[in-house]
Amino acid sequence: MNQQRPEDSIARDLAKMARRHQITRRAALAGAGATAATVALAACAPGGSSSTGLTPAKDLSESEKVITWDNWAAYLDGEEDASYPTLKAFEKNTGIKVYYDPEAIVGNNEYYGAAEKQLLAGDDIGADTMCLTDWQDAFLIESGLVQKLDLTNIPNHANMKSELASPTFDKGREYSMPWMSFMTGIAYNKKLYKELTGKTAPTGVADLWDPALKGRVVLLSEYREAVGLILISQGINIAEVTEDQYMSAVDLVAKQVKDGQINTKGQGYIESFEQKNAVAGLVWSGDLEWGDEYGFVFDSQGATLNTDSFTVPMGAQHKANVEKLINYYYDPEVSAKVILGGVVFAPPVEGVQEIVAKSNQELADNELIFPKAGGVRDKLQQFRTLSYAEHSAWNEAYNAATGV
Amino acid sequence: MAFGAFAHSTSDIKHKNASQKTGKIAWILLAPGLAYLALFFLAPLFSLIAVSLGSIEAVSLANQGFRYGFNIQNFAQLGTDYLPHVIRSFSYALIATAAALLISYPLAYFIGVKLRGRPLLQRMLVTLVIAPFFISFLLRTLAWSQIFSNESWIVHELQTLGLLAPDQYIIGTPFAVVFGLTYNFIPFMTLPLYTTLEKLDIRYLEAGADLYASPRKVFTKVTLPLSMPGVISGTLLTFIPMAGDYVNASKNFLGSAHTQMLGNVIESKYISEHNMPIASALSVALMAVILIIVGVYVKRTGSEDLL
Repeated sequence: MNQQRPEDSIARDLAKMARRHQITRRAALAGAGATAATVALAACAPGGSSSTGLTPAKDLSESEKVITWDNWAAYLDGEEDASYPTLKAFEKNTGIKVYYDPEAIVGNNEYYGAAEKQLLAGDDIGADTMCLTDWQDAFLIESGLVQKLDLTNIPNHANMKSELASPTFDKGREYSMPWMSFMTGIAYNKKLYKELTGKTAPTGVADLWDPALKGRVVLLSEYREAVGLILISQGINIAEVTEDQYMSAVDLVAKQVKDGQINTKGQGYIESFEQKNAVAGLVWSGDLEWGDEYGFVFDSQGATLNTDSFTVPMGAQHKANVEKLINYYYDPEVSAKVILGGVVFAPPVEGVQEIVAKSNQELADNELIFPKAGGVRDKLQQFRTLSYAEHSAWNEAYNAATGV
Repeated sequence: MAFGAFAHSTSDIKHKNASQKTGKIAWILLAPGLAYLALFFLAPLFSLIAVSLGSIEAVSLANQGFRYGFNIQNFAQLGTDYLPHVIRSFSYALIATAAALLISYPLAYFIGVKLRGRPLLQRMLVTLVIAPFFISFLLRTLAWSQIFSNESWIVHELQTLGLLAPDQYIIGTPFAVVFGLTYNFIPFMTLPLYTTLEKLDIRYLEAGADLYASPRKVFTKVTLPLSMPGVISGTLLTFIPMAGDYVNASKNFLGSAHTQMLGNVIESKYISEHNMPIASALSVALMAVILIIVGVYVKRTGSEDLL
């Protein structure tokens, strides 16, 4: 298969492999150890560079019918057997071969950290598009690291849900196009939660501090979601959160960690649930299979809403191809197929729910995919757009509260 | 050498030329190694030290506002914010090294001395010591985290026996981390011990016994001193990587917020916070402390020839 690909793609794959083997969290864990990693770090030390003035790479979409698409896990139909029916249909219709990697992104910081050098230099990072989270996209756009999209190539963007159409960091969606939205709520192991607390289900964040759950509570590693949901549960509007409010919520986390109530946090929270170390915790909607074993509830005060969006890095050479891909997925019929194919996140396209309802009413009623107006949809909040300096300080405070 | 000797037998001038020539050849042969060291060890090391004294201002994602400087206070944090992590790193490494030595010594002694004359069995047992290396170290650590998980049989039994309180668990405790370190590094201790003990001349032990030394005395006066090179290389091979380890103590493996070591802080500073000056300062400090500890240790044990 590789032989049929243009040489450029092979070079890109090598770049991708090399990057992947640099310092993603997984590779770093497998690697030689902290000291070796930081020697590598020193070699990549910054010179205070600023990326302003980067220009988009030459678009080779006409001659090279390929796209490399980096994404998070559990985000596309047919992932379990890599069959990707909707993607295959796109390839068939357009003749564009898509290299889809559902394990490329395990965390925004990790992904950016591994590709930082190439992104800042405007080089090819081995991906033509990736779906990072709003706040990360905001920094990428602010720093001029991603290309402006040609909306005339994406006529279907008119189908975008109105609440997503014009965020503060990208007025008019000229640089980023939402892929899926997700919320934060409380997950719990049904059997163990009942055994330990005597109650059937938690009703809000406050229930996590029940002494009966000591050492069995987990938090997400991203502070906007973890601390964000704690703030929402306290009745604070996170779209206007102040530093004092944030820091007092971090103090609460620090206290719960110190008292041993919260045991772990990190990318590994799914494993923590599966190993039954965690009984309850703050998690992303759609991450665990909510069935007989686990339950998921929203805090009565609401939930955080975040969106992962397509962006095209400056060094990518197939922007026009990516625009075709985005346009394809903004067709409600196609978006509905993704949801019917088992993705439990909220699509950004209007009209999907009606199509899904025709063949699967249960899915159409799922609040994780289609938050109901009058229900959680009215209580979704987005974290205030932070300056980079604020982000650094707030992230550091949360890390310190959770042990490092 | 032969070339030098030949030159000496003919004339002094020739000898001088020849030794100059061998000197040159030696330098030419050394050059690739030296260039490699300069490029991949010295340059990154200096870069690391330079970054560790710098500062950042976090202007934007693309502009971290990094400046070279002489911010010695980057290192001061080691004694304040990160003191618990420093103490954990070295105490966990020390305890785990001692545990690995206690487990490995009898094992290596048994294979190297007691089984002498049974080479097949010896080889089989050495293979068994190395066998865990055939499985990824991450997988093995994950397996232990599964075995020690909160709902596991072991934890339930310990809670039933009253050795653990109902809300006490193994995962996330210093015990779990030290256990993981010990387990993962035991082969690095056993192998050098085995290679030393395998060469141990049994006649010395027999002589000791003939001179009415008790078995204990023979061990402390003969066996142990003769196996010291193995003990020292084994302890160095385990202690140094253990002090910098960040897998076992990671919250995703055997650790928790209460067991984070310096390696975990460095990882978080670098990957999550992009704070390279602090990450570098912590790395330099970790290296320096390890170097001092190892230097004193080697000096004390009188084994400079190992370095």
